[in-house]
Amino acid sequence: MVGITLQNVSIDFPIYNSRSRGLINTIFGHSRREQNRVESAGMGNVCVHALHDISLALKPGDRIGLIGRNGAGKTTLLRVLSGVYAPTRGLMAQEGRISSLTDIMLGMDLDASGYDNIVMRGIVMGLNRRAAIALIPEIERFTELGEYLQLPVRTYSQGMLLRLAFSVSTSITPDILLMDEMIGAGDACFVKKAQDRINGLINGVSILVLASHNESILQSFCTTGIVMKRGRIELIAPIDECLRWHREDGDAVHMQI
Amino acid sequence: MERQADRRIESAPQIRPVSQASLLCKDIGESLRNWRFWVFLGWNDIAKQYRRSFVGPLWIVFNSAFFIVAFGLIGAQLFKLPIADYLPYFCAGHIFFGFISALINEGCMTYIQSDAFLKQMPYPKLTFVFRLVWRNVIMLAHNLAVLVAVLLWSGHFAHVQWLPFLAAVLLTLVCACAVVAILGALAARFRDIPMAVASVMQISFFVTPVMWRPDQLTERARILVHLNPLAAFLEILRAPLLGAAAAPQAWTHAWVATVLALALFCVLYLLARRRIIYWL
Repeated sequence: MVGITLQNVSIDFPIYNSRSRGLINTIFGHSRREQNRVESAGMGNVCVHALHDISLALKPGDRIGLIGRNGAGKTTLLRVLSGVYAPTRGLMAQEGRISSLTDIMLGMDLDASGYDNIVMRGIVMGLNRRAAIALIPEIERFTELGEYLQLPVRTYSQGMLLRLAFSVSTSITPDILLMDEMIGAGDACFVKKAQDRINGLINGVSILVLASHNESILQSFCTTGIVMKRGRIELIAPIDECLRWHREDGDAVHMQI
Repeated sequence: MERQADRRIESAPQIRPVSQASLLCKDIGESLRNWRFWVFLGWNDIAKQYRRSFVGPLWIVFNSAFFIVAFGLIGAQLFKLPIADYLPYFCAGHIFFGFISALINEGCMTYIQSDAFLKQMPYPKLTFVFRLVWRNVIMLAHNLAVLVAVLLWSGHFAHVQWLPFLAAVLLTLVCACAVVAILGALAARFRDIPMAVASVMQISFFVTPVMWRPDQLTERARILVHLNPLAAFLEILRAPLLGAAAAPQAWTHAWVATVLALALFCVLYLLARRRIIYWL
């Protein structure tokens, strides 16, 4: 069965050669002991407690929105879910084909043509060459880039490049989709098409985990929310409740200052 | 806060930790099964370098041809050897030493260079080792054109001992994969290693019999050659091409070096597998 299970997962990051122990101690040394996430690990090295004791079970049908301020651990958690970061403590198990759309340009080469880039991006996403070539007609139609596809993509405008990367990246439907911020591309006409396409993709996947700061995007795609704060899960609840909690928490922090 | 509890792993199956050794086998197996991916990346690395040039990868051939012929002519005079003997000797030495030293130098960047991939998906780590080795095999294949031309010209081509040569190439490749994986992991953690390796490789060009012959040294200085694993690999690759059998101790030396490298690779992989990504 498709799913991801985390059991008491913690992630501690060693930061080597940071040479800034003095500075870090000055900044964090005064905060309350239990809140320290940056800790000296000897030899001038520093250890960051990025995630702390995360337990989670994702099941088919889950539409999860990750909520939290910058540095709360959202991206780190996504990387744990994708299997990139092996937990430093705790256990994790996953089943199903995972696709993480954190960098939709990964594997593309600015000096290669649009067509070559479709194939290259396709292969990097796990297709074989033939399947990647088979994507071309559909992407030709969708991106409306026409004969530009014969040119090196370095000649493209930022918007055109994004359209191409977006189209290829969304043309494969995995079991589990991980996204760091919603992806989208292009001018006003294209935005609508892109939205339809991303809706189709999200409807096709079994599990979605989306980290975002945009409340309306979270509300439209996710049903369950996970609020993260300082590397811990603060709340798992329906998305609206999580967003409200997060808003109030933010206000509370401002009040303290 | 109570809501967390009911969501957290209600009846999740108990996760069992997997043994490290089986993970190593799994990595090797998956990387090999995914050969299309690293073959593609390797080709693309070469293509990327020459995409906007007209002559393209033929530059690899021209570059080494110019250098080999130029230095071959000078070297033959310097060492007072007939050009038909010295040129093939130097040509084979230069091409294979270039291959090995490029592998060692670039090996340090195996994981550092592939960080964008490794941070996005849990690709099997050896994928990027094979990518790098494959990329250098493509380079070598280009250079072999020069070598074949030289061997045909000097008349050595008819006497090439193909079987020992192929065996030597295979052994070199296995050892190269292990060394690249070792250096890649160490260099990801200790960022001074690429610089240190580069400076060692620079010196090793002169202390390895690439352009001179071991028999030109005194008895005492020849110990240097016997201790140098690069010299052993060079000997087993070059001798069969020139129609001679490689010295048996060179083969022993190369085998020992390969087994040691593989052992070190296994240990290091088990220690570093989970950590490499945190070092990038």
